[in-house]
Amino acid sequence: MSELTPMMKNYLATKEEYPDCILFYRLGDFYEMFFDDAKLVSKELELTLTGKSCGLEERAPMCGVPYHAAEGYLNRLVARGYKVAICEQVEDPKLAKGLVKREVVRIVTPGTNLDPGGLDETRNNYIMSVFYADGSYGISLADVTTAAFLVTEVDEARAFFDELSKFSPSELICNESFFMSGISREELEEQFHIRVSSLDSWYFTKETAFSTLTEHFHVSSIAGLGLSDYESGVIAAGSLLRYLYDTQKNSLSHMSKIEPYSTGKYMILDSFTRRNLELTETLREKEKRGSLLWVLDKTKTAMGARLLRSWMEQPLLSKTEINQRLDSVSELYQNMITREELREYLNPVYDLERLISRIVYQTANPRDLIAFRQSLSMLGPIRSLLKELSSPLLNEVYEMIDPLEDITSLIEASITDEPPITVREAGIIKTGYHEEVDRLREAGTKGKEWLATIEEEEREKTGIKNLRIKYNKVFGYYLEVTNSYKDLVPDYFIRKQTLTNAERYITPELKTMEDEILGASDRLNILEYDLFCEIRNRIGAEVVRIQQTAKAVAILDVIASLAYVAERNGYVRPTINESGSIRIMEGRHPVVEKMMKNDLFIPNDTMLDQKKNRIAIITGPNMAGKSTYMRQNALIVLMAQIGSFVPAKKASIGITDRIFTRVGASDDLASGQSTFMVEMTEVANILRNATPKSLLILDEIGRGTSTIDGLSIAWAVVEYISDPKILGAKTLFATHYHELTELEGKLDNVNNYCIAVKERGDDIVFLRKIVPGGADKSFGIQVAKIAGVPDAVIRRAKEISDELANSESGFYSGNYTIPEKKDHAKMKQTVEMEQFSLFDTVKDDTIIEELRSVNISTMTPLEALNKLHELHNKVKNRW
Amino acid sequence: MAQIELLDQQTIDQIAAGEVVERPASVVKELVENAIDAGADTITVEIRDGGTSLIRVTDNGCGIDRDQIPRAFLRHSTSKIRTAEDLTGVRSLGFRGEALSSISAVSQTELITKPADQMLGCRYRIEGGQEIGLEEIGAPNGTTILVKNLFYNTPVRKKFLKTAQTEAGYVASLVDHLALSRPDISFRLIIQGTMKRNTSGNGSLKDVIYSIYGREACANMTMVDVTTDVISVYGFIGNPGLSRGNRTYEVFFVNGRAIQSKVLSSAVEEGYKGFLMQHRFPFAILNISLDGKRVDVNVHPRKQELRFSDPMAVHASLTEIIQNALRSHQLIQRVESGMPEKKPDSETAAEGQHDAAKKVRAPEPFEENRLARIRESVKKDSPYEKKYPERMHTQVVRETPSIQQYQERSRNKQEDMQLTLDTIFSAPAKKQYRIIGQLFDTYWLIEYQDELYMIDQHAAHEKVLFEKTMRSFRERSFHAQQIQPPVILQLSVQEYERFERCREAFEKLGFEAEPFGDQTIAIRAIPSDLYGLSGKEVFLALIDDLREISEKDTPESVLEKVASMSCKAAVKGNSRLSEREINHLLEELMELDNPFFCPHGRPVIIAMTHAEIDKKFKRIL
Repeated sequence: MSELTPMMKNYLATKEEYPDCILFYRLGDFYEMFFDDAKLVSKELELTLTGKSCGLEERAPMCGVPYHAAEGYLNRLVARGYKVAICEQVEDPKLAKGLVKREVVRIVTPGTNLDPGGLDETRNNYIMSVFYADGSYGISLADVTTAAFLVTEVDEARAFFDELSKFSPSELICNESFFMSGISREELEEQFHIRVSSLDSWYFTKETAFSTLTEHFHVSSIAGLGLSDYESGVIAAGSLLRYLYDTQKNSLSHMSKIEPYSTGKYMILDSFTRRNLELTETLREKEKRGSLLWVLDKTKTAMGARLLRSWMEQPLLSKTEINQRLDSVSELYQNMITREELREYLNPVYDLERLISRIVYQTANPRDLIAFRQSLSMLGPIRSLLKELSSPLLNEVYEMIDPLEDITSLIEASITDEPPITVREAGIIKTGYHEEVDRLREAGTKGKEWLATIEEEEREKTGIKNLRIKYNKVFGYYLEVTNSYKDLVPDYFIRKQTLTNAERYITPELKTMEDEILGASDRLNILEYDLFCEIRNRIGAEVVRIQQTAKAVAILDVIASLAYVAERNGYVRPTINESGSIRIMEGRHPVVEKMMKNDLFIPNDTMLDQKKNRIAIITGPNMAGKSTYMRQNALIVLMAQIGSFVPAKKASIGITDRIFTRVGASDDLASGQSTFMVEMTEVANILRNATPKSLLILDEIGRGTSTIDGLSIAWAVVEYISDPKILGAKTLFATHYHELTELEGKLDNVNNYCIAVKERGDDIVFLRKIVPGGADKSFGIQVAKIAGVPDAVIRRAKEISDELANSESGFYSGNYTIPEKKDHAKMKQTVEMEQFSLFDTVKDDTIIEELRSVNISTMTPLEALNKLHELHNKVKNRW
Repeated sequence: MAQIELLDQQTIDQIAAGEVVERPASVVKELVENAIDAGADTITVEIRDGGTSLIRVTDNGCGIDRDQIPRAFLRHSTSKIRTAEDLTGVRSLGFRGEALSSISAVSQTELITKPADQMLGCRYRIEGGQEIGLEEIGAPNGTTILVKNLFYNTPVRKKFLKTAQTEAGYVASLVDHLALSRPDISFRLIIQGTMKRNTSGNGSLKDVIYSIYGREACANMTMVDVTTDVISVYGFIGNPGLSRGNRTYEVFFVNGRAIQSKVLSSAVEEGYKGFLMQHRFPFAILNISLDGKRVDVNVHPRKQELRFSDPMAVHASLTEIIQNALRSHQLIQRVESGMPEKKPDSETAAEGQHDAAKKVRAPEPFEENRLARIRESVKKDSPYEKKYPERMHTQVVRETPSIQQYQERSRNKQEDMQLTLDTIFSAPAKKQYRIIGQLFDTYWLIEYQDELYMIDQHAAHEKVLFEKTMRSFRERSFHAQQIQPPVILQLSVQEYERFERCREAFEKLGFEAEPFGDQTIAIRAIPSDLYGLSGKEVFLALIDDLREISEKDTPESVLEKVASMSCKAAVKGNSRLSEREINHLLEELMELDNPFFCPHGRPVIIAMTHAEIDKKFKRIL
């Protein structure tokens, strides 16, 4: 009757406690997995599946990874969304009687991975907890590596998604009812790549939440944490903290504060807008290069990079706060030398936030402490440079930076300058720091010195003149005698090794001494380890001070980066107003201008306000720069509200509470909705949620359905938005429906603009200038020609379009007939399309001259009509 | 006989072009000067392949009207002057009407321009002097000129160009000078797609100097802002410690134009007389303004030189200005952090000097002076000497790491130095010196003829030891002294690693050391020259310094480094030596070929003449 071995029993018992995790079971130098875990891991990580005898008839499937290389494998599993429980040997195998005691010391989940190798240092790694009840979503977020801990509440699924895309957590825990709220788990897991798990309901009770939080933060009530207004939020926070306790299995003392925030405090950007504006990554390649973040991020520290990203995700709404940031950016913009020196001092500063977390977690090694010390030593010079500056935010930063000299001196005094990497090696503690360490070291040295004297002794005793004491790793210490003196060797020499021309011996005395030396060395190792842990814990106790300093350094880094970029790229300080008007003189697109060769980006002005310039209808061909123009305005507004300078000659920015974009092609084919449906959903969302202080960027509303329907919808939307009693938001509305240009006459806050284009015969030249007035033509055919559509198609298209243009009424009533293909010879006789330009060369005199030069007597009626049409256009569109 | 024929216009243009357009840097100069004259506040220069395949200059100035464009490329056409009288007092940088025509004659040029008040821009192409086309195009305000394939039609001239890197270097230093001349303009330089220089255009000359020359230079400059009835001078001059071996750091602008002028150079150098050693030149960036009528810029084809109507007056005025600036600033002594800077004014100059004498620290840039000077005078080299320049330089810098420390030697005549040092070490001299005594346990004071010599004992000892070591090594005549019992040393992981790497070098120099336990070595022998001092400490100190040696060092250089370090380690600066010992040391020193500085570049001897000392006490004036 076969029975499981004791070890296997222990394994299975442990596995039962953690059914949803992969169990890394420590056996000697390996972490091993068995049965299903083994099969899963061997497939995921492409490791060999072997077997191990377990007491049953068949061998248990087994898969293992070596201990010292485990982190890499761990990261890979976690990145794929698995949870891994690490089960360590908690007693020394040499001392154990029977089975070595083991315990699960840590559960690594996607949202709680501490290993720096698995993290992008420029981003936070959030885990989010959601508690849904009665229509309210309580949301809490934490990053255990940087000790960030946030709490908020929203009451709409859409708003929940906004927060989700803002923070991009890698893991989500929730209560069961969350799935009833209409949010699909698959969508979260597949589209957003989040690992979702629901927890038992006891995690989400008020009592648990309250007690967990108050205990952890050592306060008597929730009000002490500023959370009295947050109901569902508090529960979410409590459940998150509980979950972290379960997985991290330590006191989490580095999570020293919790920050409630309200989504209304920041500019709201939905996930489409974030993507469309390419704030932190490009639309197509999803890379940083080519995004706004890429342009602005010249930070020198990891903390600064993370903070900049979060400033970008949460633009401010308060004029005072924005100006505060702008003041400090301005100061560093003007004081170039101070700024560059600050950046030089910031450069060697390591990621303090993550370092201190590792210190508190007790996973930091000696080299981490040295990196820590080196970073801290930069604080003094940084402070003295900051003293010379005067803007309030920088003064605040100065106050916040704690020079932490006590920690620096502690490390300086105790840790050697070039310590080993691992904690168990010798050579960590500096001589002179601890008496016992010094003593043991000396003992070791003295012992060796004594050994050296043996040489002299034995030489005299035995008369072997060239007797030597030597050492190697295999035999330890030994006496070496050349063959010539072999015969003089006394009895108490024990032969150990024979070489070609020498013999090696040991003596009992020698061996005893050697053992003593080794013993001292062992004791020294243990002592050094203990001392190191003590030092590490002492530093860990200062976690709050260090976190505050790290935060201050991050702010400084971001401000310096914004100032540096402003200078380098020729940005200007925007003035912030609360009247809602946006006036930009010679604005440029911050990313496109960098990508363009030869600095030939053409700047454009913008004028929008809450009165006569509420809506700008922009017509003109594709590819001509309409989208770039609209996007650049959104980006400039966003940059201003982050506190950055903007790419323009002058800019006055009215505070905007939300930016909506409906731009570009649909990318929701995967979800099975048609382009038009998606578009309409978006329009609905915008019209419902926009406020008078919002900025709307609408590109080609009304595509994807019949021309008449599309035009009607677009028209109605513009009317709706323009009415201040209904909506009244500032809007940039690009369209191909030239009919919409008539709205300028009908609504007094709608203005027409078009993108200037110059016709040269059959070709067009893009001037990329936005000018007042409506375009008459879309030049779609010319654009198609540029795109490379075959000439035959272009010719025929022109034929059709000419005919249709001349039979307007037929077109609108829906009964038009496409003319037959004409004979080309005949085509040549039709009136040539006149070149006409759209700008200021048209003056009264020019028109009158032209009129004067017309020879009525030789014109055909058709020619006359065309001429009239042409002149009419010139008069209408000039400026 | 060959016929005499009139050359056609194109050829004329090409030849004339040769005067104005010598290399890419000349093109850049002309185009940027045009941009400046156009009132731009941002100018971008981009080059590829050293400027041979592309030169681009973009500005945001006033642009060129469409009808004016073809005219601009004709020879002798310009908007800057109308008659010859305008040449006197010309304030714009370009004026000859030659630039654009010359450039377009020898390249494929494209001009894109748009005045601010026009909607449309223009694009004009001209190749080898032949107009290709003029068309309308969208463009931002200002002008962009693209000069492609310079000298494509004059292969001879193209061959004369240097490598792409060298040409790029010329362009870079030209742009630097232009940026210095106009701190109110933001300059950008892009080479092969990378931005190499970017000035802010915020009007601060100091910021521009910081961008170009770095923090050290900035920290050691004095501002000059003086107007006399002859000239106005504004700029920055470097403290004598910032001296250089050539004139490249003398940058002059006259009425905003970068210029070279013997008159000005000589005036500035005269102003520095007494502050600098021979063959050393100051760091000076100066804007000189004077009445346009008193200077003629139309002298050099590339407007690089000029003529003053009264060079003597200019010279005298500038010299005086410089002297005053140097004296009044009274080059202060910077001390270790913690102590405030002293700013003595001219009345308390003597006190300042007095203080200066108290703190004896080897001045870093001062050492550079010595090294340079002595390097030149040294004829015989030891193999180490040859490789020295870099080693010494880097080691000198390392010894005074973070803060600029130097001391102004309040001497007025340094030329005598050369002479005195030459004499002290000649054989009869040694009999005639008198040892006064030891100072601060570090220096020996010697009276010789009419001078006071202060010899750094440490440096002298090191020098002697080093020479002995190297000689023994060269002659392979090491005497290693056995140590019984062997000395046991416990090393850290890194130290042990370094020891392993340099083991061979150690053995060659006479150290015998072998592993003796975990991270432990036993030292059985050390070179006999060092015997008598604690071999163990030498070895330890050595191990520490060994981190300087990387894997890249050859066994030879490792050996030399180890040798020099061993000497350093052997000597402790503060030990007391008896008079007999110092005599012996001095003798040995004198036997050396090259006693002037220690292996690490610090001076061995500093001297003061009788007269100087008298001056300090105001016995003579």
